[in-house]
Order: sequence, then C-alpha cells, then structure tokens
Amino acid sequence: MPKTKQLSVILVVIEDSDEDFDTFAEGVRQSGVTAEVRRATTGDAGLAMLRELAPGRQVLVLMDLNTPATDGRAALAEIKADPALRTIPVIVFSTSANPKDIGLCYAAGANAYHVKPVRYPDHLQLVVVLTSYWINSVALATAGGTQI
Amino acid sequence: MQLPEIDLAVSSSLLDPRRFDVRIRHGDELWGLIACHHYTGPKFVPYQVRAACEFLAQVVSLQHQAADDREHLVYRLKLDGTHQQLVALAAQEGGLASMTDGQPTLLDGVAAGGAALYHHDRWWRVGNTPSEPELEALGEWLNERPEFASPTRPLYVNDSLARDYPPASAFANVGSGLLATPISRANRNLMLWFRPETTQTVNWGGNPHDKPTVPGPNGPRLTPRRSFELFQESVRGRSLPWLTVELEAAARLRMLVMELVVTRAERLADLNADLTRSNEELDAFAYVASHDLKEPLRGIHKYAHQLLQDASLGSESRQKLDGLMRLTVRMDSLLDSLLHFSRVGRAVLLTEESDLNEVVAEAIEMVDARRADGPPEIAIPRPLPHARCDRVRCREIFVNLLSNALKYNDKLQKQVEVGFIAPHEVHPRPGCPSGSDHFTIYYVRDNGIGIPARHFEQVFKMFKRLHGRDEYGGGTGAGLTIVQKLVERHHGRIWLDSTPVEGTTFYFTLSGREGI
Repeated sequence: MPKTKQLSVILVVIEDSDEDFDTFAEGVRQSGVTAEVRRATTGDAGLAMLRELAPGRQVLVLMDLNTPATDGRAALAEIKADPALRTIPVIVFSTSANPKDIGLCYAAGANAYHVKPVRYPDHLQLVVVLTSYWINSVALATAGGTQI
Repeated sequence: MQLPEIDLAVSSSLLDPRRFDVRIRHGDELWGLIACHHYTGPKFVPYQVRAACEFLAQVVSLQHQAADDREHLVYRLKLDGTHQQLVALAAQEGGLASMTDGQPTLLDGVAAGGAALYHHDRWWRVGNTPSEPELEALGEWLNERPEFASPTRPLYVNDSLARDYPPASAFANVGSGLLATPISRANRNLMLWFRPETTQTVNWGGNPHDKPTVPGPNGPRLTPRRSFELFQESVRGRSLPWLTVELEAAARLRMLVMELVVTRAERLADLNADLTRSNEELDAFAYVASHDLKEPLRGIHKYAHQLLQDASLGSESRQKLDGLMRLTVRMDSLLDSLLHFSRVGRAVLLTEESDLNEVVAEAIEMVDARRADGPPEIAIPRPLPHARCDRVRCREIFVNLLSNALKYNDKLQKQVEVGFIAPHEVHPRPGCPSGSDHFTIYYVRDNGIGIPARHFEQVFKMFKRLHGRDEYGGGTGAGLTIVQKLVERHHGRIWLDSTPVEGTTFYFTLSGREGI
C-alpha cells in the first residue's frame, strides 16, 4: 500500500534576534525533521502570518517573549483567545528564568516554556530535542481545529 | 477644708439672732465660711465690725483666687512645656513610642502614677498601669463611651473609675483615676493616664459622721458642732481629682499628637509612592538585565563557538576564544545572581508555621544531589523546632549555607552540623551579638577551611569572593548576600564565627530585628 505523504508542519518562529533565529534554524536542520520554517520578527507580524495560513495545515508556534511592538506575552494571549488559533501549540523561548514570567506564560496558555541557555551547544541541543519531539512525537491539531 | 453639713444647720438658722456669718468665695463657689456664734443669747454686732468682716472675707476670697490661679498657671505652663517636648521628640524619633520610652515621658506632664498609649496595634506603657489584658478590655469599653464621641473635646475623666467600670476595682491600686482621650478614631488609638487609689486625704472640718444633736423641746435637734478639729476620712476606690488645667492640657496634647500622626501619615504616603516608583524601576532594570543584556551575550558565545570550528586557527587564538566563551558564561551567571537577588528583595514572603526538620531534610537532599564525591556527614543533634517562616526561602537559606559548608571544606571527612539554640538556653554562643539570646538561633557548623576574622563582614557582600575564581568549585559570590537578604526579609539577623583551618559556624535568627 503506498504511503500517503503528510504535508510538512509549518513552524512559525516569532524571534527578533538574528543570532537566536539562526541557532533555531540550525537546530531544525540538525534534527532532520520535515518542517517549513517561517519567521516573524514582531508579535503582530506573527499573528498576521498565523491568520493567513491555509486551514488544514499543522502549525507550531515558537516564540521569544521579548519581541518589538506586540510582545510575546500579548501575542500568546491573543492566539489563545482566538478560536481559530487556540489549538496551535505555542512553545515559549525566553531569556527570563523568572518564576513570575514562567507562571504567567503557562497561565496564558503556553504549551511549554524554555529558558534559552547562554552556551551555544546547549542552546542548539535544546532546539534539536524539542523540534524533533514536537514534530515527530506529538499529535498536532490542524489549524481551524475547533471548527470540526 | 470642705464644707460639712454643719453649713446646713447654720443655714437653717440664718435668722438666729445669736449668729452671724460671712462667706469666702472661690469664683462662683462657696469655698468657706467665717461663722460667729454667741451661745449666751443675742448679741448686737455693730455695722462697722460687720462691714470689716465682710471686707476681710472679700480680701481672703480674692487672695485665695489669685494664689490658686498663679499655682495653676505655673502648672499649666510646665505641662504645656513638657507636652511640646514630648511631641517634638516623637516627631524627631518618627514614632509615638518615645512618649513612653524617651525623656520626658507622658508621666512628666500630667501628674499621674502611670500612662499608657495604644498605637500601631500595641500598648506602650510607662509607670504603674493595669496589665495589658486589662488595658485591652478598658480600651474597648472606652471606645464605646459617649464622651469619646464629642467632636470638640473627647475626654473621659473619672477619679473613681470602678463606679463607671466595675472591672477597674481589680486594679484600683494603680488605676482608680483615669483620664483618657482617643488620638485617632479609625485605629482606636488611645492615650491614658492613671492615678492610684488615695486613702487618706479627705479633710473635714470635724467628723461628718458624728451628728451633733442636742435635746430640744421637740426631740433631738441638729446644732452647729462645737469641735472643729481636723477630721480625716479614708475614702476607698478614689484617686486625687483631675484638675481642670490637666484636662485642658490633655486636650491640647491630643491635638498636637493628632497633628503629628497626620503629618506622619502624609509622609509615609509620600515615601510609599517613592518606594513603589523605585520598585517599578528595579523591575524594569531586572527585566533589562535578564533580556537585553543576556541576548548579546548569547550571540557573542555563539560566534566564538563557531569561530572555534575553523580548523585553521592557531592554538593561541583557540585559547583566546575559549577565554571569551568562559567570560560570557560567567557574565551570564553574574546576571542570574543579580536577578535572583533583586527578586529575593521584592518577592512576597508566604510566612507559615513550618517544621524546620522537613525544610532541612529537603535542603540536604538538594545539596546532596549536586555532589559527586561520597556522602557528607550532616548531623542534626536534636530535632529542630517549628518556626514561622517562608518555607521555600528558608530552605534556600539552608541550601546555601550547607553547600558552602561542604564546598569550602578540604577535610577528608567533611562534617556539618545543623542545630539551634533556644531562647535563653545555656549554650556556648561565640560571637553572638547582644540581644540575640531572646530569639531562637539556628546554626550551620562545618569543619571546613574557616574564614579569617577580618573577612567576617565581607563574606556577605555582593559578588565578593575570598578565593580565586575557579577555586573551591567557583561561583558568583552571591550566595551569602542572598542568604543575608532572605534572613533580613524574615526580620532576622545573620552572623558568623570562624577559626581558619578548624571551621565556620553561621548563625541566624528568623525574627527579632529591632522595631518589628
């Protein structure tokens, strides 16, 4: 029986730092997952990108908390308040290890919170582990999943 | 001399031709009487003599009034002076506590045996006063008194308190007389003066209980007494009466204190606004430190790492790039410590009754997990008591002290002891500051490398390390600064005693800082 090919997962990365985005892209490459990476540098741009996505695609959001204009916290809240977007897992990457930030993000509906390590190898390894987990092991919803 | 009932008898026979009298007045009150009696029958006293007597009585009245006024004026001035000093001192000290603890006190003003102040939810006492539970009950009763509702002069005055308030008979020896005034209605703050029972000071012109009667045609008849010898009567449950000038002084002091309290409240509100502002700035700073400073560090580390992948690099360049990466990592941990420290200072403590045995057990588990070499010996000679503290923060104190005890230790058999000294317990207390014996002292003792006495203060300084950067496992040098902050957040104190080579003991309390 011929195997049907799954459409690749869309990884929307909301990250303003070029270095961190580069580390992220490198991590995705090393993890060997099939995914389409799209980058937004502000929360607003990320939200616009998510809303333009064709329904029926599997989407994953990875975001930095401290982005220009609408920051990660506000973007997270908006995603989780939007019935069309709320099934998209949001994975937070932040420099802040402050328990307050961590608590606030989970309370706002974040699906995971990660503190960016300062050591490059650790940072890269984190991206590898987590993209392969979220893309290979997790059953993702398709965008617009609440309208089943 | 008080006017006995003899005056009644005299007055009832005002038309008696054998008798004549002149009155000595004090203000509008009848103060005394010069009464002349002629027992052997009617006597004619010439007009001139009567006029002279009248004049004499008037002079006595005026003199008496003047002497009294003068005496009261002196007392009033003294009272006002003392009260001004009291309020000035309280303003300077920043609290009403100085009114009972300072010099002068509330007692140096109004003449009383004791005074008490209810302020900041507690009693401040000076001299002889009822006990605190008695004051508590009295305060509640007073706050319901109609006198306290007076908008102009809320004073409660009584020189025989037990008549109004029967429980007062239990403390009649210190509080038969009471002068009380509220210094703020909202917080039920009070100012009270007490006067003891006075049992010997009522002077009568003759024994008032010995009714002088003579047999008359219609039975016994009340007559003026023949003996006017001084008669002293004991009166129980009464204090010396409160003078008008004292009441006025108390009312004026009340106004001064209330003005002070209001000014202080305004200043506190200003300070609070400042504090909120600076806390917000600190928050903003902490955020800048966490994100905006760390992000470039991550970038620098990354580029150095990528450069190292270049095979053509010489060994010297590699060393330098390694150094660069090490420094970024160090900078990162310094920023983490700084962030942690700022969080410790601002976090709200969740204080609860905690079993310190559990707290220390968790701390030992956390410290153990970090260690690679064999299990250390951590002794707890006797079970630790319960304490009111924030469990998580308290655990952090123990984790830091325990990990230091093991880290700065070069002995083959590392020994650490966690214990406590109960208040007033007989126990060696090397280096313990005076006053600390009122509180439970906890300690962590090790047989480590010790600290020279000249560094005792420095160990608590932020980022201060006594050893080379990579000796004894490295570290940022923030651990003890954070411990000190945590102890201070619990209103406690921390200090140490140490002998180089032999070991160090860190002592701390979880309460007992001055003024709390």
